[in-house]
Amino acid sequence: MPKQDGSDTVDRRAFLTAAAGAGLALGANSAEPARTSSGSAVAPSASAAPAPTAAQVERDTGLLRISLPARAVQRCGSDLQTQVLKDLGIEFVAGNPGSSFEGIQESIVNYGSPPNVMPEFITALHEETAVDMANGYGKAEGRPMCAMLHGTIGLQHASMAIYQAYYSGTPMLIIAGRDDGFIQAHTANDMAALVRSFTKWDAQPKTLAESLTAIQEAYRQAITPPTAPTLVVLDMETQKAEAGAMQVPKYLPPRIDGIDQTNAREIAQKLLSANNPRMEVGQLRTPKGVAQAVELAELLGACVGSRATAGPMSFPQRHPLSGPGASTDYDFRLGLETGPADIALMGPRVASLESRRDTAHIGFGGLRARGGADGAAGEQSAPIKRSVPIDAEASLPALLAAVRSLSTPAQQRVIAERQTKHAAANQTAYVAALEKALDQKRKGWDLSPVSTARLYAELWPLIMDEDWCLASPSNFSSGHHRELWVHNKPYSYLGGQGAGGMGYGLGASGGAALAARGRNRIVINIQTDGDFNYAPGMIWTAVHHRLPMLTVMHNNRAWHQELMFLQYMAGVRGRGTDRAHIGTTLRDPFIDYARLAQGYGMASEGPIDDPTRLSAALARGIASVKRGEPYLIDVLTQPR
Amino acid sequence: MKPALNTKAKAVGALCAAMALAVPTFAADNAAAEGDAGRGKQLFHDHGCYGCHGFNGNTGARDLVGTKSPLIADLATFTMFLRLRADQAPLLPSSRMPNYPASALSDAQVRDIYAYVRTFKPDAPAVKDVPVLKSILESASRPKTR
Repeated sequence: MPKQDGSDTVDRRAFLTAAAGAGLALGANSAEPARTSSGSAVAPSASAAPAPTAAQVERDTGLLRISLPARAVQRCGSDLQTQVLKDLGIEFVAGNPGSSFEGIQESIVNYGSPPNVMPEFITALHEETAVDMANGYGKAEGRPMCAMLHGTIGLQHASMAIYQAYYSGTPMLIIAGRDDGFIQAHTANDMAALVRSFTKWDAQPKTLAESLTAIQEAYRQAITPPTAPTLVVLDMETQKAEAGAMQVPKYLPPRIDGIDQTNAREIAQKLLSANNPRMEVGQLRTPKGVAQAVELAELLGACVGSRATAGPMSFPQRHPLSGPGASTDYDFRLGLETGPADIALMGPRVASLESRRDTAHIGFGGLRARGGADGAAGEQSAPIKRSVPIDAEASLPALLAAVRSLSTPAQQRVIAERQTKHAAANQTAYVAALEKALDQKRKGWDLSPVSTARLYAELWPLIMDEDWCLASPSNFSSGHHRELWVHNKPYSYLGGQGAGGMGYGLGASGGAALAARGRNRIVINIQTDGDFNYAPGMIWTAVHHRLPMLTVMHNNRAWHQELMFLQYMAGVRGRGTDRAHIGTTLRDPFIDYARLAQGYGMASEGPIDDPTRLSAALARGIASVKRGEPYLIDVLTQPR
Repeated sequence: MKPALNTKAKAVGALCAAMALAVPTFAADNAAAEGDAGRGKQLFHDHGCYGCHGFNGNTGARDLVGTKSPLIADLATFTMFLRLRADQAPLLPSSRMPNYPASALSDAQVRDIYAYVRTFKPDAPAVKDVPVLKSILESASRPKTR
């Protein structure tokens, strides 16, 4: 029977230490008595208990000293912290294990009866990948998942991915463990300062009670415009604290302000009185906002400009109202987080936080506010006559209500007719644009290596009737999906890296695949080879967690953009370009991505350089992913 | 005006004049025959021309097949384009096209590359002859709901 004061733990520890010493001594066949770390002699004995495993030896005698609780715990603090995550609807916590969060990790895997399954702990092989996963998930779902990081070292590993997510404005909850009583290099007084310049909000609660409200507040801040990653540093003491009768506080969702009724009615009146109103829809926050934007367009019979081919949470690309419409002579344009517009509702961007958060005065380019005080107006290149600094999505309910209440039967008849005309015109315009695009995409169709246009074209018929998400950035593979595929879902395309940093595609796709798993959705990852090699361990994670993710390598055996930059520079200096491959290409040896994937346990094939073999390979890949088994196809491609 | 701009303006003028004289077609060019297309292919790869033009000249940011660019209409213009850019880099309006002085790419090498470039043929199949492209076009005729 264990003693309540914990002394039995010490006894057991001493016992194991002795046994380990005995085992080691026997293994070494030494005549000398073995010595424990304390120096006391222990006589070898053939009748001793079985030798501990190497892991036990390491843990009990080596550097891996575990931080033992100072008190027995009946109701763990980290169980309550886990309950907060559950209550917030956090589906996944991705992390690479670390002792500074062993308390909450243990709760995530063991809390409750039967043991907890949501949030599910997702095993990441690198902290950057854990955050990239949260980034991909957040973009796809418009709400946070959690990345869990180990102390100063995990936080620094993750910092690049946090930086990207911040640029993207992705809502994300980050928890970093802190154990001041353990390895000192892994702790710091103000750990969050490492990433304060590119997180929206952080806290380092001192007590269990504070930690519960801090997690809630971090979530609230993450989803409140400007949406962004937030960080809670969880001290080990809060994780291991005895909760006693403490209850999880009630979560209060944020109040996100939209336009008031007066402004809503003014805009509604302009939209209704216009002969040819138009909406421009940028990136909204959630699928609900997208649905409301669709509702507004349909109420107005307004044609709509969509950004769905550029990123998530925009208007469905092939909604009948999406397109230039029957006439481009627009007499009133409403912008929702974008222009051009007569009036644009522009919510705050993360740049607005710079003055408050960048206490180290790093002054990251791209985060420096260039426009109005809200940091939003200056980022817009499209002309906007009147920019209203308020969240567009939160304004939609008031706009919908105003349009409904103000529209007359006569206007509704006109609107219905206009809708029909717009739908026909948009269909014609789409087909014309597609015909023009296809005439370009056929170039190099039969070439080896495979043209990037063919890669996208061959994929489309295989996924067009599926619920799909293109999670990887497409800028380096020429973005052919923009013209060939139809982006009708809020998550059809998740856009670029954010800050242009490499090592993002696999992790973000993994996060999108977490969102897709269980929703009968598949994720496509057109994976550039340069980006792949930063954190390929995501391949194992995808297999381990059965993620529906098809990775198709855009393998041009280079960091090709950099190759072109170096060629240009050498050319400007008149030194020739025949050595520009040095440091910019992945040759000698070529990397075999199919075998690499197999090493991580993923089904794969390739390299494929014969374009006639591509379609069948893609079909096998899609079939595999639909079975819940991720797949990789290595395709040797034209550079772009 | 700075002297450099004067020089640059002259260079641009010379190139424009050459381009004006050039015939923007892919008619047979005897000059191409002076070069060795096989060696040109190797040079095209070694110098990374494929970076922007594709391994076969018809993909990428600046495909060469079917563009009818006067800059590749004949060897003289092609050579002048490379050289002038090298001497007066970068021409305005600038592009990412590197510059090649003779010290980086000899006249003989330019001839070889040009010979290879002239082997590029607009041999892409018609959309109607590519089942995948045809099916994409056909699918566009029906409204997408997902």
